[in-house]
Amino acid sequence: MKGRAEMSEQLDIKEEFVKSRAVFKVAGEIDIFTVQVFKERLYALINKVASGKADSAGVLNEVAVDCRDLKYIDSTGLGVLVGALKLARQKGVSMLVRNLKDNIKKLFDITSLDKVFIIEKD
Amino acid sequence: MDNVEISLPMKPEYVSIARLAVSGIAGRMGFNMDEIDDIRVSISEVCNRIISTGDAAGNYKIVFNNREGRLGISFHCPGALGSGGLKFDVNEESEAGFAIMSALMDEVKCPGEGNALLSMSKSTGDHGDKC
Repeated sequence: MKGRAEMSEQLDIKEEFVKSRAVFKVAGEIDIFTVQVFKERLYALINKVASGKADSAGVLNEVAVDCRDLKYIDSTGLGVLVGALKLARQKGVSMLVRNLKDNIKKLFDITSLDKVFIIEKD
Repeated sequence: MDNVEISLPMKPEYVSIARLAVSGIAGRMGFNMDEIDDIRVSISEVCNRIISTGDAAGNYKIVFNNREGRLGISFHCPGALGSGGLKFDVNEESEAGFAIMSALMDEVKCPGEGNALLSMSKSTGDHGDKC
């Protein structure tokens, strides 16, 4: 398993590759200040998986956004997730979200994104 | 009635300060953690729209008032947003922002009471039944 990390004051991102899955681990807060880093890194990972250049021994075809340590997200972050899902579908990559905290799952329910995304738990 | 006012630059890096402030005020008023999360999200959605709409060089003001367990929050930005006020029907993201705050707060008014761009309120003891 290989990975790399990027940290800002409020947002920490790690990427790990397990079999066919690229895991995009986000920790901290995604808001109007940190959302650009979140978008750039997530889009880049989807493009990397789609192009077959991801840093993994196996063939990658799936991106999982792991929100176990994500404490906060607002509509700007949810908008990036929707855009990323559209990009992934265009590129033939599966995308899902994992381990939503209750306060974040509530936002998915309010905006009906719970019907759009595959949501996994450990 | 106690009032607290903060003035923030119209820059994304200061929205977290608004969340911190309201966490402290709502915690002091006796809101539980779930309710504080709801208020934090709602206040950020308004800040996002003000920043996206307004003049980046200006400041906007948030006024919190505590009236017998009811937290009122109003947003003021004299002049910097022009005559159009605050709009949430601009794109899917802003519409989602308005839907979120409407679901999480007891009341949202846009334009707000008095001269406010927007005002919202939530009372202690609302455990999110609307969601």
